[in-house]
Amino acid sequence: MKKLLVSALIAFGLMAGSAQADYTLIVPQEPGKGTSVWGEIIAKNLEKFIGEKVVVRHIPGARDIPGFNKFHNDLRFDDKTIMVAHGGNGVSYLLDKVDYNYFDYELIGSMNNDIVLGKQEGKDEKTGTWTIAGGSGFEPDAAAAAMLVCGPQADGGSIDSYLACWRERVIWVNGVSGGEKRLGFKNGEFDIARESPAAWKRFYTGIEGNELWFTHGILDLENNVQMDDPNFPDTQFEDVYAKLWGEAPSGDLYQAYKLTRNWRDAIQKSLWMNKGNPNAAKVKAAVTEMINDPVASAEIYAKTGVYPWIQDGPSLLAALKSLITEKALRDAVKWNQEAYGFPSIYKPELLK
Amino acid sequence: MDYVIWALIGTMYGMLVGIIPIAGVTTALITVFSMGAYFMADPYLGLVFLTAIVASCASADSYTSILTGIPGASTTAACVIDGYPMAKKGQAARAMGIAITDSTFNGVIFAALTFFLLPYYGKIIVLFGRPEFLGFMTMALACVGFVASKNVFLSICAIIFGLCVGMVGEDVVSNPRLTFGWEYLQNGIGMVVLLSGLFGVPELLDGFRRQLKSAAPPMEGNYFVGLKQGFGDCRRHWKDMVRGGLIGFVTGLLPGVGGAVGDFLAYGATKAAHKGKDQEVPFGEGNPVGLLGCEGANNAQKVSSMIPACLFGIPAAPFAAMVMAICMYFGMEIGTPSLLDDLQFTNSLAFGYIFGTVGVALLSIFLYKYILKILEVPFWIYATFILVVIVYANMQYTGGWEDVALLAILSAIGVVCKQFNISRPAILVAYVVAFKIDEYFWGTLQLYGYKQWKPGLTSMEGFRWGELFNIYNHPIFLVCIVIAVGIFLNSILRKDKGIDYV
Repeated sequence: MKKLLVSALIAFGLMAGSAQADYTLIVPQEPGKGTSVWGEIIAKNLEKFIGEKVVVRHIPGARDIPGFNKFHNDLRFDDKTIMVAHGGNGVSYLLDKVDYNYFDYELIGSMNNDIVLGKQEGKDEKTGTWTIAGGSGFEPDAAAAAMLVCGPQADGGSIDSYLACWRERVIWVNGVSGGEKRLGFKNGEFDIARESPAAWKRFYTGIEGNELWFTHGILDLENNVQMDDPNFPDTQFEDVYAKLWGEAPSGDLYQAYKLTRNWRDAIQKSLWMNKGNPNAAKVKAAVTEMINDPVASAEIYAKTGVYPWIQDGPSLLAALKSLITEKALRDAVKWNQEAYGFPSIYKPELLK
Repeated sequence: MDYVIWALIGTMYGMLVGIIPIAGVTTALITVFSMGAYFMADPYLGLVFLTAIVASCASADSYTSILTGIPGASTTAACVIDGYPMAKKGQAARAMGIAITDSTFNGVIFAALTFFLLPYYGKIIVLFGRPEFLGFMTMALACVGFVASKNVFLSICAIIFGLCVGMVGEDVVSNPRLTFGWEYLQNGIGMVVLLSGLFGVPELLDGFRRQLKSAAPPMEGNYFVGLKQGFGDCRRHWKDMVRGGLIGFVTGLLPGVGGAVGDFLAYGATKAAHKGKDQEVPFGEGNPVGLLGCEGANNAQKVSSMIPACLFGIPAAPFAAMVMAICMYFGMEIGTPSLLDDLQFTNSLAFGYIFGTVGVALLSIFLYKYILKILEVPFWIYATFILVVIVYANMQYTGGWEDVALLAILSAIGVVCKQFNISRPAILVAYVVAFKIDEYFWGTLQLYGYKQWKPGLTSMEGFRWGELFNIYNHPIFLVCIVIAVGIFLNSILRKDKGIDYV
């Protein structure tokens, strides 16, 4: 018993020791997932430029919300805590019950990323049923897919008309993991593939049986417009839609799509600190150095693809805020609830 | 060069943990989990390290069983039956000769068979859609519950508990489920903490309780002469050696059934094959044939366990679950054609395993004296070290007190299961398949006519049963369901026969 007690004491001693670090990156996911791996890479590289130890702390939970909530309610008041957020957190900010609020933080850096959608080679949008593997964070992808499959609606593109078409022609399968999605796409169970740019290049480029369907493009912050993805030119959703249906996308679902797309992709991989944090300027400068360092940036881009960083927090948040209208928000909630079965809620406080 | 260095480090570490009584491959892997971040830049290097640990630990576990009579791990318990009496008679070197030859032979042969064919097995997986996976998971569940334990009631308890643990977290549309208001549980219960709690900590506590002493009996004669004698035994009885390996290989393929089953089946088969024949020594009293009949099964089983793990994400044994957890940590997606098509993945597995198997054999031949010294170290010293590392490894999850609290809760459950012979492997596999069965069940429903399913909807109107149960569309699904029913009926009708895995 005495020996067991000694063991326990040593274990607790070790625990106390392991808690000591200079900077902590809070990742709202378990180890091994996309943003966790990105966070590990950032921590390793940021250390060199910040001159202090940076450790990653994972706080996972449903839809990756609890970790961000914990940062908001508690951890952000620590001067050396940095939040790592992903695009799904941005969508949850709009549509789920969350505590966190981007407007309370200072942006340290955000990678304006994209998502690539593929389809079975030669499959015709205008006919047949389409199967898609769903999951949280997929909202804009599936909405865009629905618009491409259903085309312009007689009533101008209301949520109800797209929902009717969705029920008729799209099968959304919940809870499919990344690898299983790929397997399902490969064996024809799913018609639509959805990947990060790096994963698309790794798993689909040069492989028969699939074709790149569309991308969402990236946000041109200076002009507040969506522009072509530099890695996949001429594949932006709006262009693909216009080419297929002979007119530009429009209607309520399109407005809801733009809202969720930009709140996801413009802050796809982002770092935040509490507003007024005395270390924010130092960390921001270190991130700038890291972005400009060829070795560090090569390691980051190997994971994400080459995408621009945004460090102008006020402009970014203003651009995103401009997309939030009562109509778009209500329509996004309705689409999420009825098309995907997600427990989304309308939050009028976002309009303030 | 890095690959050789890490393979060597893995081999030495695996050997060290393997020599420690009770601590087996699962414990070895849990203790290195905290090194995961180091290998993030080159996950294949991490794979080489891991598989070298698995291979060397599997072999070294046998040495402890033979030399001390205390199983190095549950998977080498059968080696004690004839191995330890040989050591007590002063034939430790001969027994070691058998163990080294048998482990190396079966380890290398079956590693080559497994890893070099793994990409071809990958072609099978493309045939699997939602219904096929649902059928396979149901079969896996039936296998583990009713093949793994003689006590059907306790097996059912274990399965229900495992399913509940596996369901903790989120449902398929990301609503919290079975979290009892504890936000920490919203991401589910991790594989590492479950393995640590169910297997790692209870075994260590049991060692403390029993105040294990593990010194080997004195050896007679020259060590190298004894080893040579053991090599000769293997050459003479090569059929027994190969049979043992084959049995281990096949049991390793069965989801959740791996572990000690292969060794005991191989031992039983060897006894049966020699029934009525004159023996140098009776079985159970230090018969070299008894030892070589079961010894290699462990190594073959370890390697073939990787097939269901890599193909379907279903662990055949606890250690394979740990390998899966570490692969997931590296961002490798188990059970996908892209991973199986990745030659660097299969080559890393093959290199690490074969290096570990051969490396531990060479180390054992030349460092035998030191193995005996390690065995003399009091159990509480290395058990303390392992306990600390297990706690530390589990704190890599969030770093919060919740990690330790959950480990403590699961360790208490593990101790109770051990005490009352409740099948922990059954809990583990039920846990792994729980979420998958849920996911595949709803996926099958959605794809086969019930496409507008969402939470709260219960009508089955429009479900195309005929399409799902059409043998021409889904033969694998139907075969799996038939096998699952067969296993269930067999377990009910023949529950008093067979081996009690627990």
